[in-house]
Amino acid sequence: MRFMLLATLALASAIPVARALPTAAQIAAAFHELDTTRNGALNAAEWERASFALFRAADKNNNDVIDADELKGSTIAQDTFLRIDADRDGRLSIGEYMELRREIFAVADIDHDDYVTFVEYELLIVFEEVGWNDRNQSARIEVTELRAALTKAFERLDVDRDGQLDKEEAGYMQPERFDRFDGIKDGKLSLEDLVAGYRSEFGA
Amino acid sequence: MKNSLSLSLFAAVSLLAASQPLLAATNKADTRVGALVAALQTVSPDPLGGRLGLAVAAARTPTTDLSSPARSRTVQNTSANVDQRAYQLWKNAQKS
Repeated sequence: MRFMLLATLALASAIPVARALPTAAQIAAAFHELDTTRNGALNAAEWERASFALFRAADKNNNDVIDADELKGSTIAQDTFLRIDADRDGRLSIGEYMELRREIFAVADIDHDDYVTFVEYELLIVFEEVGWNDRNQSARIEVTELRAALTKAFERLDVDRDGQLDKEEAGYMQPERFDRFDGIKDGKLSLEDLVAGYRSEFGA
Repeated sequence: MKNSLSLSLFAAVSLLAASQPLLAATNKADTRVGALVAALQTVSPDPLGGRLGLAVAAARTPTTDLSSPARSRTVQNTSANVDQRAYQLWKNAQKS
């Protein structure tokens, strides 16, 4: 019996578990910490400062490189680590790390204006969880690519599988945005509402 | 002897008093960085960007200029050095 319990636990720990998406309040708090100039948009300098802070936090032995052991505890980073360790020395230098962080900033900057606004940051957090497919290989999230990524997000969020999101299911989203996207004011968002809503945020 | 001891004690107390604002500034900077990291880790625990970072790394196309591999290496090293210098400056700023 004890063996079966241990085996079940071991199996459960080997299966990647989808993490709950953060709440709207948590995303707003993180954006507030990043946005040191309080202008409602993140520039490259603010992103760099935060990236340095994250690197320092990950570099537990403070030797200015992140090694594989220091990335343990992350569910996804091991794969990414292997891919971005350009010189294959099993260690991530600040240069390699910053290259990826800058690429992520560029990816998040959907309207290509060199700033990441709150709505772009909100989508970044969602797509970090559900992924994104760079169909046209532009290394950017294009407005035309939103549908595919949002479909994955929708499937993840629609817990009761009724084909619509209520405010609780879309808890990552600012309530004001939910109300704006909810055209017929029935307290529900369809996939079409979600896609059209975000597209309209970018003037598409 | 007694004067020398008093003088040393006075110097030590002065030094301690003078270092307090510096220590307070360091603690304040650490607290700010700690709050930033905690908030970011709440929404995105993976410093490499999770699935998005993986997608970006996978989509990355080789930028090596085959006609001039030495030049390509030099450009990459220069960029990494700039990052290293910027990082050290940022770390020093947290201490001061």
